[in-house]
Amino acid sequence: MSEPLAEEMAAEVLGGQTDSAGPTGPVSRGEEEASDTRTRGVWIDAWRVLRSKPLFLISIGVILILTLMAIAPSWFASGDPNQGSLSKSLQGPSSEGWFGFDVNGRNVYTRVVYGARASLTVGFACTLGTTLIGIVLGSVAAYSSGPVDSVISRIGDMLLGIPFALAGIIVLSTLTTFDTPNWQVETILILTIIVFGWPSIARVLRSTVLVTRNADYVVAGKALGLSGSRVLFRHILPNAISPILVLSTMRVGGYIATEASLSYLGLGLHPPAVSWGQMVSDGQPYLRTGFHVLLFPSIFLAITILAFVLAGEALREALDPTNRR
Amino acid sequence: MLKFVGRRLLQFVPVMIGSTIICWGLVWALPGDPFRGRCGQVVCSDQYVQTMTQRYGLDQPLPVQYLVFLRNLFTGNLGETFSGQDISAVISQALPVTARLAVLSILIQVVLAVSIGIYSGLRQNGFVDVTALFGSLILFSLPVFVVAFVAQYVLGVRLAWVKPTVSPAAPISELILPAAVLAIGIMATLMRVLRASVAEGLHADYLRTARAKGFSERRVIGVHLMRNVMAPALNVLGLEFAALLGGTVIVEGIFNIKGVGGAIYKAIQDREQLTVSTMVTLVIIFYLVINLIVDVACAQLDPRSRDV
Repeated sequence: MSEPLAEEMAAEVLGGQTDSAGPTGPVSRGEEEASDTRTRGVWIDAWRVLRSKPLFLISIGVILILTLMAIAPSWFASGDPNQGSLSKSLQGPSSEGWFGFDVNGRNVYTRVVYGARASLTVGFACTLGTTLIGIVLGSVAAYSSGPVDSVISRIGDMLLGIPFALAGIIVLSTLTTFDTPNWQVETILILTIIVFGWPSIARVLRSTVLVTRNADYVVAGKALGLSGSRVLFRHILPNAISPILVLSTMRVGGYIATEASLSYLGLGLHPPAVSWGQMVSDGQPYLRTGFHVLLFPSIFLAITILAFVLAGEALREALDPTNRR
Repeated sequence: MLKFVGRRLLQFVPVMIGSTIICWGLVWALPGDPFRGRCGQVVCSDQYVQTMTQRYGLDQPLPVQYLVFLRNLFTGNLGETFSGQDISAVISQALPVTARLAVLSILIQVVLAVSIGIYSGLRQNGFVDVTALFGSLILFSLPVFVVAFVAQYVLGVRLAWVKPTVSPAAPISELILPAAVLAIGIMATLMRVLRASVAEGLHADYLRTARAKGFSERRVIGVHLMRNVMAPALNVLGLEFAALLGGTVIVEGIFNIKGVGGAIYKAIQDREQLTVSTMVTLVIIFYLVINLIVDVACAQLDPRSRDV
């Protein structure tokens, strides 16, 4: 649900990229060392900027803690997330249960900790999938042009023509029932997001590559007699990668939100698996009596998404060549 | 310009056909018999399944089914749900409500995003700009159902300023809260795009030229700058229609609004494939047409975008 913002931000980076590829762009000396020092230079520069940004460090810290939570939830919370005692039903936060208890008397804190796994798995897997497919198809489209380009671009348009949320709802509701095992639901969910998500990455990459393709250093590389794939992998892609990196970082949050929304609609993971969206949906009938049941998973969801968005934002500023003067 | 419209239309047709095929295929071509589970506790008789399969033309090969579906769509005969209700009746009941919700929501986001975005673009790094930038990132991070619940709880239940749910007639006064919830998450993008293009435009040559010609500051900003700012903003607004349409499914559910989003969701849960594919196809066509109009409008505003 968050594609347009991320895309726009990547487009801003793209703008910066265009500048660097123009007359002020790197001048090609010896091809090998030039590309090497330059690539390393960009990343070291970016790291210097990032290291001094508190907001970036905080969001990376939050992401690391959440990742650890997803890998080893038992380090953060003791007890079984699905075990509850009805005597504690809907009790508010106390020293015993920091986030209170839900209607079945289950500890909301424990459940929130265990819910991190579903969100982060979906977030990372979808990002990896869409980025890889987007990079491959986007660069193939830009580099081959002609009919291959048209076919890839039009297929992308068709997939983008279907609102993301609707596609997810339709696929999950046709392919899964309540008996479908959770790992299958999760796989289907991830694949759906990947299938409908790659076109926006491919689109950004395609336009970046199209801009970079005519840059002086690429022309020089071709004039030196380098093979097409070498020019693509050593010279064009390293320059096109930063907008994609920014876009991908920001979209992790979007994928997590999509998973939560679908789980909220009852189409995602179901018990005994725990997910934040499902917790919110479970808490919905007790909006008046036990607001904490849906408040805490919502807060965690928001913090997680915010961490990725802020990290992406910081990355965008650090990689933007116009900020480096 | 005419050439651009023609080329854009030529692109539009295959994309529309492709999108509807994908969507229709997702609903129909996937495994599962739509009639098997429709008889409650009892197993459906073969006779029932056969009759229904024939009645809805599901015994024909898939491509034929798709063509029949398209023909019906364009002749305005939308068919009926599996329980015999006219789909067009279901839509005509739900559409006005959703239309009101969507228009209201767009109105809210355009007014807020345009005023805040342009103001913060003109006074960069000022108090409003920094607050709005940070606030928009936070709002952007909140999934729509979280915003909806918090708004419903705080404004509807605790403070009781508005009714927490919407009555079936859905008058505009009751739709303001859901529309604002829908607008909040989407607004951030529009605001940032406006801010960025205003900030960029302020240093552009055309603005200096306009000032040098001696136009008043009001005309320089209001006419010369705005024309250049409008195109990207319109573009984003068109793309965000997708988020808006997806969001209505959730927001309509939470606020109990009887609109198109709610109807689609209910149809999915009732396994009413025909209703789902018809409504979703119409939504997709609507979305694509909106973006076609946006593209043409952008080309009118900014002739450079015609060559792309």
